[in-house]
Amino acid sequence: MSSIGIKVSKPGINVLTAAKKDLAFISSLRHMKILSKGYASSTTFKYTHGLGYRPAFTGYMKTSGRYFVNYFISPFDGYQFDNTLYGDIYTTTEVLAAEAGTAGRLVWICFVNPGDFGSQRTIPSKSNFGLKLSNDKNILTVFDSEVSLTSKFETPIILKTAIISVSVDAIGPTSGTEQKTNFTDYKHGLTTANHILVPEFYGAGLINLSTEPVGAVPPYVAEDRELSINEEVIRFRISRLAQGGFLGDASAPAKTVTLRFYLTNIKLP
Amino acid sequence: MANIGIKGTTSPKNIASSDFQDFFVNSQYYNLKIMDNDPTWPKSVTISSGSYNVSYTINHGLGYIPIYDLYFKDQDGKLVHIPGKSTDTYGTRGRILGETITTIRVRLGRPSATYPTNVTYDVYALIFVDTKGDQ
Repeated sequence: MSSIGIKVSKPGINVLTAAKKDLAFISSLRHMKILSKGYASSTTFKYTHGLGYRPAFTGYMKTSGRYFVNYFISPFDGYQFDNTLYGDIYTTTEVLAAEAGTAGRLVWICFVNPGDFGSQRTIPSKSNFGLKLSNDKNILTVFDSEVSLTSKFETPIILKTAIISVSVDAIGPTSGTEQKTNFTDYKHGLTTANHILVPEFYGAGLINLSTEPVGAVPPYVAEDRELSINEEVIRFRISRLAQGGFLGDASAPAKTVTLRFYLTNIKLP
Repeated sequence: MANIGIKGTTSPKNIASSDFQDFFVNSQYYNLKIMDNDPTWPKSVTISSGSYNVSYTINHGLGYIPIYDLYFKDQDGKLVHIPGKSTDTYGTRGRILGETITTIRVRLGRPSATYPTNVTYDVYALIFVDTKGDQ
């Protein structure tokens, strides 16, 4: 890392020796920047970003006042989950597309940051004042996508991180079909539903991207999870399905699943 | 909070704002910081003819499970989130196989293995160094 630049730490942390993760910000790293966000107002919504590269993006499905993180894929069977609506978001070099069977539910966030490390294009400034920090680029000519930090765009800041856990009872033994579900509500302390990051939510491989086994199959227990946020709480739900088969009963012991979440300052539309 | 630190708002928001969203930096908290792209991370992967899927590993080496955003470019040139699914000819899908404190394992797959040619996908990773909030 160059010895030139700006880095800021919180009180009690030595800025000279702190690891990058322990700094509030550091000009040698790029920070996420939001170009725009909104609802998919039609089932085939398109937002023209015009960036010339494929920007990073994220989304939520809003149902009954809750914003669901897994907007893009149905859990294994939909049993006992709060959300049953799903959609797709993707970006090309010119547009962000947000498509869902129901209009007005799919929430999208389009970042300035390239998702494809593609070519950059400077977006016209809103004004000729403000702050921008660059690491290894000329600050006068640096592209927005290369800027470390700038006052030009909304920027995700982590307001809170904590662990949320949910326990589910043992399931089975059953030779038929049995479902078990449970959830935990975590009061996040804000008055708005904000963009939330939950890296381990998908990492356990529990988002099932294939159809359930059909026909004469061995007994199995499928499990999936759901996470949502509203103005008061973060809800984490686990649902399990035991399906006995012709070879015998299906069962699984009780368990507790924990997740770390990162709640940001970005309000969801 | 002590009255010491740095904070900045996006134009034209007031620096005295009590709305967290108005700030692009606030040294009371942690900005989301992107790890430098590592040249050893996979840039493309290929699902071979006759195969359902291909797996790959991102070695971030951070020592903790990071926040991340992963994508692949489908055969229509669209950037698709992982996990997520594409509407390209192959119905390509991406999923996370697992995370450790040093790696993220990813799989791209498709519902059929009958395609006669190899299919290559560009893959991308945004990995963040952050582990803290307001602590």
